[in-house]
Amino acid sequence: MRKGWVKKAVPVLLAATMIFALGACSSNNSKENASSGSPSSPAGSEASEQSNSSGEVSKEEVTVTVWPVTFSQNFPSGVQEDPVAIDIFEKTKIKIDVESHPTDEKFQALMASSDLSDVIIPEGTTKYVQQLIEGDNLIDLEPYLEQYAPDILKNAADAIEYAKKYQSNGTGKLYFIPAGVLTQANEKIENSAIIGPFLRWDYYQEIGAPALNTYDDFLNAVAAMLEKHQENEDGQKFYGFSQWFDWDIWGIAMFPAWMEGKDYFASGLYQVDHETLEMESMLTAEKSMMWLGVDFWNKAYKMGLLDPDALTQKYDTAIQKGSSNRVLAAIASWQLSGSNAVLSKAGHADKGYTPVPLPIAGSKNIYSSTSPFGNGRMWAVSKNAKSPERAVELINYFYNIDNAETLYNGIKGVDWNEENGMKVQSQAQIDGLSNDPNYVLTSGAGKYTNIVGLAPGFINPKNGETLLIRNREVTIANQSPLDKAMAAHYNVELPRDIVPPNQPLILNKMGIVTPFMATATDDIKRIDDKILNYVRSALATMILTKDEAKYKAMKEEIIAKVKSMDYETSYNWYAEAFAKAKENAQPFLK
Amino acid sequence: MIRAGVKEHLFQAVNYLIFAIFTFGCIYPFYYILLVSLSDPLEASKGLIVWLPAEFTLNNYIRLLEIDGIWSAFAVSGSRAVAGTLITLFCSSVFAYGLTKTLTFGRKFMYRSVVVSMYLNAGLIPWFITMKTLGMKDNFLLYILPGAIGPFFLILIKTYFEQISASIEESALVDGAGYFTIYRKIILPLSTPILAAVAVFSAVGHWNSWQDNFFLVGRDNLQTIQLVLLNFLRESETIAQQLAQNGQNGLQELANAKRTLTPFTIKTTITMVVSIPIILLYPFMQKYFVKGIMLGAVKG
Repeated sequence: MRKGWVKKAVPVLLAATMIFALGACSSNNSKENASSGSPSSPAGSEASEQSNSSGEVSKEEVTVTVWPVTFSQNFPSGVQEDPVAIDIFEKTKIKIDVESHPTDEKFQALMASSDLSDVIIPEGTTKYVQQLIEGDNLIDLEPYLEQYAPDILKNAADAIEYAKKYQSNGTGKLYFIPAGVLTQANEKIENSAIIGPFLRWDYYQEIGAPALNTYDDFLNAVAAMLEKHQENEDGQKFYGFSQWFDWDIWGIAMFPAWMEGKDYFASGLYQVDHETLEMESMLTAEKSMMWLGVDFWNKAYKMGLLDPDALTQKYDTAIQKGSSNRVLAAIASWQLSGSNAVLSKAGHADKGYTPVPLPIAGSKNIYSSTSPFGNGRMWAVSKNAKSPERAVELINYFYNIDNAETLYNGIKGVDWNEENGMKVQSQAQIDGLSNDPNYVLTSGAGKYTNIVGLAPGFINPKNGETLLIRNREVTIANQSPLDKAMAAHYNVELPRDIVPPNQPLILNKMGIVTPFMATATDDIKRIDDKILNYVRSALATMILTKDEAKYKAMKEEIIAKVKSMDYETSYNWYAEAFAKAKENAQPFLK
Repeated sequence: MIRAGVKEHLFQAVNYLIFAIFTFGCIYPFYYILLVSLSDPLEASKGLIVWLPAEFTLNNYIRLLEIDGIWSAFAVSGSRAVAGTLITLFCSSVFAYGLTKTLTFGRKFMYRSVVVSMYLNAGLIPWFITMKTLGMKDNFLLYILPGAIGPFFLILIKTYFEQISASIEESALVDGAGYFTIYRKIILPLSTPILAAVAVFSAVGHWNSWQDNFFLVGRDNLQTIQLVLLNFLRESETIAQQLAQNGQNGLQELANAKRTLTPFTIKTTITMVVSIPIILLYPFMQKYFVKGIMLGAVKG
C-alpha cells in the first residue's frame, strides 16, 4: 500500500539526511582546511622560485599561526590588524594569526594531537624542550638562517650557539631561537627599580623626609606617617602596609633580597648574590633574605603597621587596597601607583605615591643586567608550518633592529619621530599612555613586547640608545607635579635619576648563568613543594608572634623541621646544578 | 469551634521565623551581588553596601556590554542553548522510546553501553583528538552534536516512558498508528514534565559550558559568552602571577603593564549578566515540574 510505503520511507529518509548532513559538514571542514593549506605550499615554492629566477621578491601573502607567551592585554585571537601587525605584513607579506589566551592545558592538548601552531613560543619554554624535540614536533632551523634570517645571525649569534648546545636535547640542532636578547649592559645608573621603599610622598615631607638608611628607618617613617594620618581623604582607615603573601615566599623575601643584592630562585629556597654568584640557603642559613624579611614584617606587625588581613588576603585584594588610596607604603611599585590616579581625579595632583623607590644608602639594588642568551622565552617552528621559510622570515622580523623599534614604540611618524638624530615619543603616544587604557592595543605600540627577539634595553648601534625610546627631554616636559616635587627634593631632573650617594654600578650576572641551569627533576620538585607549603604557613604564624622568646624558638623550630624534610637532598642537587651552570657560563662572564 | 492555642501560635511564629531567616540567607547574597553590580567601583570597594547600591550607576553593565565580541557571544550561547536543547530532546527521547520497545534489536546492549559511558571517562586528550578527527574544530556543530544523547537524560526519559501505561499504546497500535505516530501524538504530550526538566538541564548546561570552546574553537564569531567573560575576568589575576614568577623580566613587565585590576563590581556584573537569562527562564518551566510531581503523587 502506498501509505505504508511512505510511512516506512520517512524515517529512513530522516536518518539518511542526518548522516549526509554530518558527512557534508565534516567534509566541508576538511575541504576548507585543505583549500587553505594548498595555496600556501605552491605559493611558498612559487615565491622562492620567483625570487630565485627574477631577482624580484613578489611574495605570496601567507597567514602564519602564532602561539605566544601570555600577553598582558586581553584581545581576541585571530589575525591581528593593529598598525604594528600591518607593518609586519608590509615588510614580510605575512599575516599573523595569534592565539591570545595561550594556556598550558590547551598547549598540552595541542601537543598531544600534533596540532601545534606554525610558530610557537611556549610559556616557560625550557620545560617543554625535551618533550617537543622527542615528539618530533619541531623543524631544525639552521639551514634556513642564512637565507631567511640575516638579522638573527647578526644580533643573536651567541644565543644561537647557546641554543644549539643547551636547548636541543643533546642533538646539537637549532630548534629554538632565544628571545629577549640583550648583549650589552646599560652603563648608566638609573633608578628604575620596582622593588624598594615606596610611600606617600606628601606625608613623608610632613614628617621631615628623614633619610632611610636602614629597614628600621623605613618602619619608623611609616609609623610616624600613620600617626599623623590615620584616615585618608575619604575618611577611611589607612594601613601602613598591606602586603600580599600568596606568591610562595616572594612577599617575605623579595624586599630584602633586592636591597641586599641577592636574587632568589627555586621559588625562594635559595638566594644567589648578583655579583659574586655565591649560592646560599634561604631557609637554613641564620641570616638569609627570608629571615630578614620575617624580621621586617614581624616588626611592622608589632608596630601596628601591617594590615591584619595581609597574611590571608589574596594578591588582587592587596592591589585593590593599594590602588584606592588606603595603604601608606609598599615594597613593590605597582601596588600603590593606581592611587595616584584616584588622588589626581580628586584634584590633588601634587599629592601621591612615589614613582620610584626611595634611595637607601648602601643598598645593593641592581642597575644593570645582560641576557646574551635571551630571557628564557624561545621561538620555534613546528612541523605543521606549511612554509618553514616564511615562518623563519617572520621570526627574523622580530630580531631586526628597526623592526624591534617599531614593536616597542609604535609606528614611526605616528607614535614617535626622529628629531635632530634623536628619537622622541610623539605627543599622541604620551597622551595615549597616560590617559587611554586601550592605547597599547589600538596603536600596537608595545603590544608584542613579550615576544620580541631583542630586549627593550638592547643598544641600537646606530645611535647608542636603547631600542625602547625614553627620551629625557620629553619625559621631563611631561612629568606630573608629584614627579617634579620628588626630583626637586633630591636635586635632580627626573625621578629616575634618584640614586643613593656614591652608588656603584652593580651588574646582575644571573642573566648569564640561569640559562645554563638544568630543570629540576620531579623528585626534587616534590621535596621543594612540600617544604614550601610548610614554610609558608609557619612563617605566617611567626610574623604574627609578638613574644620575643617564642619568636626565636619558632625560628629554630622551622629550621629543624625543614632540615628533616629532606632539604639536604634538594640543596645538594641545586648546588651541583648551579656550580655546573657557572662553569658553562664562565667564558661569557667577563 | 476550633481555636488555635497559644502553643500552636508560638510554634507557627517560630516556624515562620526560622524559614524567614533561611530564605533571607539564601536570597541576600544574590541580592548583594546585584547591589554591588549597580554601584560605583570605588564606593563599592569601601565595603559599606548593605541594603542599597552605593552611588547607583549602570556603568558596569555598559562597560561589560562594550567588550569586544560580547553580542555575538550572546547570540552563539543563545542559539546553542536553543538548538542544542532541541536536538538533545529529540534524539534522547527517540532513542529512549526505541529502548522501551522489547522488539528493538540489541536494546540491552545499547542501553548499557550508554550508561557505562557515564561512569568511564577517557580524559581530556582523547576527547580532544576525537573531536578534532571528527572535524569539529572551529565548528558550531561541536556545541550541539556531542551532547545529543546524554546518558543521564536518557535514563530519566526512558524511566518516565516506561511508566506510561502500556494499554494506551496497545490501543493505538490496534487502531493502526505506527510507532512514530504513537511517539509524536501520545508519548510526547504525556511526557511534558520530564521533557521540560531535561530541557532546563540541557539549556542551562549549554549556557554554562565553555570548555569545548576553550580547547577547540578559535574563531571570533563562535565564542561563547562564558569564555568571553572568563577571559575578561582572568585578564589581570592569572597574568600577574605568571609574570611575577618569570623572574626579573616578568616583574618588569608587570610593573609596566599599567593595567587596572578588574574591580569587584565588574566581577559581580559578570555574575549577574550570565545568571539573568536563566533566572528569567526558570519561572516558565517551573509549572511543568510541579505538574510532574503532581502526576507522580496522585495514583489511582
